[in-house]
Amino acid sequence: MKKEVTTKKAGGKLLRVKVDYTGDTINNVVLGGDFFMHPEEKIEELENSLKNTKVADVKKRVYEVVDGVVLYGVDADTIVESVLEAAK
Amino acid sequence: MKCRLIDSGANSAGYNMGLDESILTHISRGESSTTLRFYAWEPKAVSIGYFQNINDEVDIHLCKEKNVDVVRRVTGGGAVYHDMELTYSFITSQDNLPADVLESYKIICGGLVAGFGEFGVKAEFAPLNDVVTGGKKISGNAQTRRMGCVLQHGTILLSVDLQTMFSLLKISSEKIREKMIAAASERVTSLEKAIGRKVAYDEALKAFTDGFQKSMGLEYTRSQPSESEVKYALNLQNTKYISREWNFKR
Repeated sequence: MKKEVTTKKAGGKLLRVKVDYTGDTINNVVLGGDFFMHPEEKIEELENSLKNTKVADVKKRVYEVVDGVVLYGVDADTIVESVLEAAK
Repeated sequence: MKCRLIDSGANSAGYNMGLDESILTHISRGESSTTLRFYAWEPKAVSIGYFQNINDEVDIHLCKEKNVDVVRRVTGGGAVYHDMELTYSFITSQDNLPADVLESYKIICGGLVAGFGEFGVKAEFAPLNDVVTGGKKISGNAQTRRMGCVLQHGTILLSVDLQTMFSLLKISSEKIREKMIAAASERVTSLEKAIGRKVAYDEALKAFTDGFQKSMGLEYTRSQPSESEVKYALNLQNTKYISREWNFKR
């Protein structure tokens, strides 16, 4: 199943999450938007970390990867919420 | 701060992005020094942020029809239509700017605020990455930090064609497009609108050169990219910035 969720919180930037999932397992995630992430390449690491991941582990995986990453316009909670929303 | 000042004029999107990255790489290697570059886009172009999907953001077919270049930047942020603008890039070692990204945006955008001040326009930095006047956006900026360097580039809107911009950037329906154009005209402005007359590239170039100098204490050496920087930029243009692999990466 594929689903896309777009989120834009007040004062923040747009986050577009595209999830491919089967039951409670996320097969693939693509994260996009007009936010900023430093270093930029962490986005690919984040997406790879969420491949073949149980929905229950999404929060843990996101927090592990974004630890030490500078985010502007979007935060870890918003990424988690949007991925989980897309995988419902 | 000593600073190389470059006016590289109008070039294609691929070359413009290639030259920004080339200068960063050369500074990182110790082969070049802090650089403030001004440039323009020929042909007109749309650039998307690193994290954007080109098909989500841009009407590729219409861009091709209208001969508008499309390129993915190495910096985050949103889709930008580059037409009647003066574009700048400021590239330096991370040692020359605060480690805090917001603070560094404020310092570099201070140059833009001073540049607008040369025209009597009262502008201010609006975190994270905008410069506004009268509450309306007149400059958008984006920064990356890599290889021990900071690259910040951004737009100085000399004039803005919202109709064309919203035809090239994807909007879901005509109703929303019209609403967005009307809303955008309330949120976005240009130097022409702010002072009531057209401003040509050369006049803007002088004003923003002076603005950055005053605000950031830059001591300029006027220069052009080195042969090595140009060669590297052309290689990046040809192997990266015009490639489908890069532009359709995400």
